[in-house]
Amino acid sequence: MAHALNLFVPIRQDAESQKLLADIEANFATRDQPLIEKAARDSQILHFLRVLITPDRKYFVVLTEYDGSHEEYAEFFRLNLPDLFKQIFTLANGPGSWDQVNNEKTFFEASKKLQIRSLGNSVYDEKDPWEQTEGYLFHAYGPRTVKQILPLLK
Amino acid sequence: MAPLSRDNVQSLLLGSSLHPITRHLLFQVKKKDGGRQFLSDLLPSVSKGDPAALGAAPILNISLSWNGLLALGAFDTMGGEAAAASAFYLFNEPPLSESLRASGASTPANWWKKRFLSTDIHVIVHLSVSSEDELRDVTTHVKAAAERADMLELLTSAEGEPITGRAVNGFRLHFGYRDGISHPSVDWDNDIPTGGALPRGDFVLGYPSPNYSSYPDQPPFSDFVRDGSFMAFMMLYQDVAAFNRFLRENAPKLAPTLPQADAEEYLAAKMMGRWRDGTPLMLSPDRPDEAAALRDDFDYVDDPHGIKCPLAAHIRVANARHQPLNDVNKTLFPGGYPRVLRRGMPYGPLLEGEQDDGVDRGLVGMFLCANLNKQFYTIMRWLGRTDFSPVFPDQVGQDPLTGNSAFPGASSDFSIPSQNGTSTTVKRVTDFVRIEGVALQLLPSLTTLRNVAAFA
Repeated sequence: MAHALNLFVPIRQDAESQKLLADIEANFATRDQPLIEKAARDSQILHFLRVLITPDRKYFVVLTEYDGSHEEYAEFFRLNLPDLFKQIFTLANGPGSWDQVNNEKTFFEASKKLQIRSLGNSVYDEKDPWEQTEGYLFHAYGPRTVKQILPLLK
Repeated sequence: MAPLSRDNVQSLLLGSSLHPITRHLLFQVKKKDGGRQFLSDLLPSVSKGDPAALGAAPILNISLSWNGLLALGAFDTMGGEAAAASAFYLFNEPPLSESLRASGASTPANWWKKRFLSTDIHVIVHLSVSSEDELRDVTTHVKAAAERADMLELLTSAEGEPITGRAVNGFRLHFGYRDGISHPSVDWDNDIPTGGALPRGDFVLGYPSPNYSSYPDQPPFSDFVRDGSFMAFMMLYQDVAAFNRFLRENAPKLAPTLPQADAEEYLAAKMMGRWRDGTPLMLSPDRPDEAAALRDDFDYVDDPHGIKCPLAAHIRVANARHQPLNDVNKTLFPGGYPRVLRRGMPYGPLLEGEQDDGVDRGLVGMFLCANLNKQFYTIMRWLGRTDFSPVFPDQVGQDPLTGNSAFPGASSDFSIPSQNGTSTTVKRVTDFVRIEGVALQLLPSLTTLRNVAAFA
C-alpha cells in the first residue's frame, strides 16, 4: 500500500538560484543519483523515485511512491540525504533556509506544504498528512509493500 | 543539569498509582473564563510528585488538549494560535489514523460511541482513588467545580457514567493477563542517565534527549511545556468472548497433547510473550513460574527464531529490546527501541466464557512521551505491522492481541514456531481489540496549570 509524494518545490528566480539549479542539473547523474540510489535501496520503503525540473524552471519536482507513514518517510530521507535536501531548500522559495528547515518537525511540515494532491481518490482510503483521503494512485500489485515484493523476485 | 523539581510535575507522569479505581472526566470549555475558573478551583487538588509518596490519598491530575488550550486562551499572551501552531508538532492535529491502524470498526468516525469527536475534548480530569466512597466524593468535587464554571461534560455512555476503570482480579486485564509489570527505568534527575536508565528528556518536555527531539523547542512555548509530557489517552474495547473462543478453538492445534485448559494457557502465553501470571516465556517457556512472574530482566538474543517467545508476541513487538532494527529504523532510532510510559486500568465488568453480554469493557490507556511521532505513533505502527525489523518472516503481520485485520494489506496470521522446526499458524478471524477513542493531551506542569488558570 503505497503513498504518492508529489513534491513541487518553487524555485527562486534570481540568478544565483538559477545557477545552483543548473549545477544540480549538470551533476545530478554523477553526484546526487548514486546517493539517492543507495538511500532508496537501503530504505526498502521506496517503490519508485524520479526528480525533474519543470520546463519553465520554476519548480523542482520530486515524485515517489513509498510505503509506511508520511512522518517516518520524511524523517528517513532528511537524515540520509542531507546534502541533496540542503541544495533543494537553498534554492526553494518559501520554506526558509536549510538551517531552519533541518529538523524533524519543520522538514516534515515544509514537505507537507509542498505536496500537491493527485486527482481522484485513494482506492484504499489512505490518508494524506492532513488526515484527508489521498488522491488516486494506481497499484498494479495491490497493497503489497516493497518488503513483500522484493523476496518474491528472488 | 538540575534535578527534576517534583513539585512542578504531575504525579501521573512520575509513576503508576496503586489505587484500584480510576476515573477520567472529559470536559469541553464553553467559556474561556469558566474554563480558567475550573482549573483554578481544581489546582489545590492536583497531585504532584511520585504517586508512591502520596500514600492512600486520592490522586487528581489534569490534561489539556490543543483545542482545550485554545479555548482557555493559553496562548493569548504568546502570539495566539498561529504562533503556537508553528511551535507544536502533531499534538495540534487530529490523531493519525493510519499510524494507529484505525481502520474498519476502529475508524475515527466510530470513536467515543459516536457521541462526540476527539477534537471536542478540551480537559480531562484523571482520578485515582482507593474506594468507591472516595470515587463518589472526588467526582462530586470535580463535577461541582465544572458546574460552577459552566463546563460541558462529555460522556461515552447514555447512562451518564464517566469512563471508570476498576482493577479486576488483582490488576489483571480483561484477557486475564497481569498488568503493569514492565515499565522503563527513567533517570529523572540527570540529562545523561546513569545505571542503564532512559533519559528524562524521553518523557519530560524541556530536557534534552539523545534519542528524540521534542517540540516546542523555542521559548516561550518550550517554557510553557517544560516539566510536562504529551499523552495519548486511549479507550480500547476488548472482545473477551471472541478471545476465549479463539483460545478454545486454536489451542488444540498448538498443543494437542495438553489438557484443553493447559493448552489454552499455552496459546495465551504465546500471544502475549508472558504467561497470564506475568512469567516471561523467555525465562520459563513451558510453564508459569511464580518466582519469575514480575521479572523484566531478559532479552531475545538466544531465541532468534521465536521458539520460546514468538516473534510477533505482544511484548516482543511493543518492546523488542535488543533485536535488530531494519535500515530505516536504525537511522531513526539510534538509541534503540522507542518506549513510552504506560498508565492504564481495565474498565467494564469481568466476563467469563464465550457468550458476549453486550456490555462495554476494555482498557483505558495513557501513553506518555516527549515525541508523539517517534515514540507513541511508532509503537502503534509496529504493533499494526511487523515490518520494523528484519527478524520477522512476515513483514505484514500484527500483534495477535491488538491487531486490526481491516488495515489494508495486514495479515491476521500468527506464527508459533516450535523446537522441532515446524510452526503452527493460527488465524485471527475476529479482532479482539477495537479503538474506541484517542485524544492527544498535554499533561502540563503545575506552573503552566497555574499560569493558564491565573486569569480567572
